[in-house]
Amino acid sequence: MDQEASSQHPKGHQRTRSAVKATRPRSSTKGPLDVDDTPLASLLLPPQQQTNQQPSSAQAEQQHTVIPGGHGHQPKTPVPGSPLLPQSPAAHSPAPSHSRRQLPPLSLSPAGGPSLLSTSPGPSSGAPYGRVAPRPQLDFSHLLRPGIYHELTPLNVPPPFRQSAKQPSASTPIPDLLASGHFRAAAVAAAQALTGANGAPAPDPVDHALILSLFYVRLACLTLIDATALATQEVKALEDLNATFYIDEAGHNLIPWELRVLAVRLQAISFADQRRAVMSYYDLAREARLRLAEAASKHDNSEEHLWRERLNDLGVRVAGVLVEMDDLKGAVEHLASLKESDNGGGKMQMARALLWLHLGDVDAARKCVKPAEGSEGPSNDMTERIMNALCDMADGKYPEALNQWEELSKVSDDEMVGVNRGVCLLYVGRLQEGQNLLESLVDSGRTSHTLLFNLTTMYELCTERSRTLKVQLTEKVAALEPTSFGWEKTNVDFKL
Amino acid sequence: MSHQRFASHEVKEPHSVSLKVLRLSRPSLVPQFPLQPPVIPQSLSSPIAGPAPAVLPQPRHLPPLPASLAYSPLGPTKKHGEEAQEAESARGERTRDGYYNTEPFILSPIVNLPPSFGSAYVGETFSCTLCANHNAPPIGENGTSGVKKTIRDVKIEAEMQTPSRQSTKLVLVDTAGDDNAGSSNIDNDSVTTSNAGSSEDNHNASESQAQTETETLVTLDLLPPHTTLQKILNFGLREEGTHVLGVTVSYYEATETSGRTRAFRKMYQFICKPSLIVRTKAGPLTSLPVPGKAGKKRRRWVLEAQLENCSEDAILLEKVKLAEVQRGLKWRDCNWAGIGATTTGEEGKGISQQGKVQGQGPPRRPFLHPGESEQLCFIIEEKGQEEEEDPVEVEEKDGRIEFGVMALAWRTEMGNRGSLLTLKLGTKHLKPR
Repeated sequence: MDQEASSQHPKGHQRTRSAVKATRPRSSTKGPLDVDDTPLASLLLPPQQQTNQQPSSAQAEQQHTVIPGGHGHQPKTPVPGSPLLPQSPAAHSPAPSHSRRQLPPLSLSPAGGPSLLSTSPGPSSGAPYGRVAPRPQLDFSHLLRPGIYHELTPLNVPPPFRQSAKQPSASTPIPDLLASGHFRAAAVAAAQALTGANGAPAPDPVDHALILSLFYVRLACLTLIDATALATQEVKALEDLNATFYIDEAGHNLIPWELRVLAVRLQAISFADQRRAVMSYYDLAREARLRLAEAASKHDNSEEHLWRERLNDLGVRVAGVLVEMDDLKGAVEHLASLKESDNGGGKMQMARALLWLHLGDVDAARKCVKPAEGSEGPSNDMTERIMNALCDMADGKYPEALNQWEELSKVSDDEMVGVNRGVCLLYVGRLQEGQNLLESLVDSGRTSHTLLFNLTTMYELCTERSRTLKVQLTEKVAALEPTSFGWEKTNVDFKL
Repeated sequence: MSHQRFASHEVKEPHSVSLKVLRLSRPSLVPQFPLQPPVIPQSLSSPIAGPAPAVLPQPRHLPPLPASLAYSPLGPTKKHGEEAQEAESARGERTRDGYYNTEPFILSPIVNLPPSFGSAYVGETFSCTLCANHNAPPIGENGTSGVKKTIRDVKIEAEMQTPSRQSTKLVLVDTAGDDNAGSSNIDNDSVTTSNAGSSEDNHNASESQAQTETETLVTLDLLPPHTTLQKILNFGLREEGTHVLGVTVSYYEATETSGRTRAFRKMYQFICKPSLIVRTKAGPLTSLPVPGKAGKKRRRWVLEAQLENCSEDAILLEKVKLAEVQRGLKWRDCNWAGIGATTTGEEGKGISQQGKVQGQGPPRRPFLHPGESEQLCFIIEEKGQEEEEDPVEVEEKDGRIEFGVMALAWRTEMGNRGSLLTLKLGTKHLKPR
């Protein structure tokens, strides 16, 4: 797998090491025609890198002229008119030479265009030269441009939510918004914080932790409010996540892990190429392995645990992509190769069984959750009982399945058990009971998309006036206290 | 359904009863895309200040954001402000307790009702629920009806018109399923009422119990306002082409002063497509000498088949066998089932030995994506004398030997079943080599 990943992404990690030294101060006026480098540059740059950099500097210069930063708060720097023009010694001022350090890595596609990592002059004033690392602050202003972020329409939110007193105020801090499930508000707030639109100043372009964290909040929230399509647009602002630009002195990626994981999915959607996601997950997995080995060699247990968990997580996500690609056979093989994580509690077993069920092989699904041979009699293993009930539904034995869900609901208040039982009731001709059951789940504070979808489907079946019932349901759900499960729903959730 | 139209009827006044239908394909597993919770720098809560990068807390692998899962992993939340606290405290231990989500896997164990009609394929069972609803106007809304209407004797009748112009009256049952089409009780019109409108159940503790025991109205045929008579039909799709489901609802509508029987009819049209194309080819194999009888030989043939998935969904082949095999012939399954285990039934008895040797459990069933095909093979031979006390001559018609039919069974997503029988397969009699 490593081989595959590396062959696909020749740039990402090979660049890593050289990136440490990719910070040569160069004259902004250096053009491709200037063959002789300054002595300083040749000192700082490994020879190979130096020659590599040569053609790209012209590229960078061009970008520079096309996009002159555009951030008013940044110190004004002399902007060279053309890479070919400036031969004047005056242009060799120290200020632009700082800014040169933020050159995008070579690996970034030249065709990727001007929108790519802006080569605008960084805030040379605040550059901490007293620090140990010679690497200067990176400029993340390419994520601060208001043009990246789309307007979110509230029109797809049912009025009872829009007009509710539970809508958060504009000044609610983002962590609170997330905790109370106001994801649309959080997405808006994150974009405002990034662009400085809400009165507060935009983040310092060098504060990558804050910027990337806000960016993740933005994208994550978009996917939670049925706006994944927008997220796939906005993620493009990051460009190549494995670019040298994002690699720090230690060779680690500055982008938070969760954002990198999410970006894989969003990019695959925007390129309409799921295979790309498989590849990218493998790429991340390779890095996780390296970090895991690093942590092990340092005997850093918590770090080791972290990377092990992340590696497990990626493994399961790869299976998920294969399912999305409809490569179910591949997904089966892949899942079979994964180990149960330490605190999995039969999760992997269940995942395999669900995959078989999705594929249609009910017998194989049942076998997955069968206890080891020898233990006969009624099973208490919940995983097995849940799977058996699902398998009965897949076999078309709805009355049997219903019995099992009813038994399960006596020992578990899991939302899934309730919803599946309600669905079963419809299949055995007890629509109204099913509807009552699902309504009681809403009353008890459950509001998953699945629950609302099933309930509104039942509304559509049981009356001509389903719209009235749906609107009443929106009012009921809007009246619930906001929780981290997400409070505001969209019209789609109620099939409105 | 793809198409529906209303039959005209003379009564202008709107019907008090309406019909709603939903095709009951298998429910589907709900996908989920779990998200890691964001790690928010300290500086975010306070006004953004200083050029110094925020210090991130030590990263941990946290459980995913609950909102990104298919369903909430926690128990019901209290209604008055306690839930935030509870959610916090629950994040660690309680979430894992009684929590069966498979995150971060994409498939979760919660199911959705069929979102749309989908495609109908030959060989599948078409299940559909029919709901006759008493739509009483909301109180005080409708000017015309100060009159209280009573609806009773609601009857739903359905028939399916197949492309071969046959119209089949369908048996309506209470349960969806693959196998109970045509069987079981016909008219068991017990009407259940919802407790909507009546006093709300205050005892939440026993609410699930209370609801499963919804009282069955003794006044049998009465359909109270806002209630539904639900029936389910199961129909084996055997023909390719346009099917029309016709549903007639009749009921007796009584006001305090008068009463009348009313009826309406709805038609639903859909296309049934083939999902498996079967091509077969039979050829002779070298004959086997009959021991003890010099010169006499047992004839053998090979029957090959190619199955092509021409549907839009992936198909898992479950069973393939020969059935209605002519007396005097026996067959051997050379396919996946024949390799791992012996075929059941007398047809395959005693021949498929070779597979058992290979062991390692039953081999994987063939899984065909749309457009993919699978090659099958059967060996057919005349029974020897040692197996048959009274050997039967293999019957030939016009120089043609009929072997039998091929029976196929498959499953699609979520175990949806399909099955087919081919026409009689055979070969021209060829002289044994």
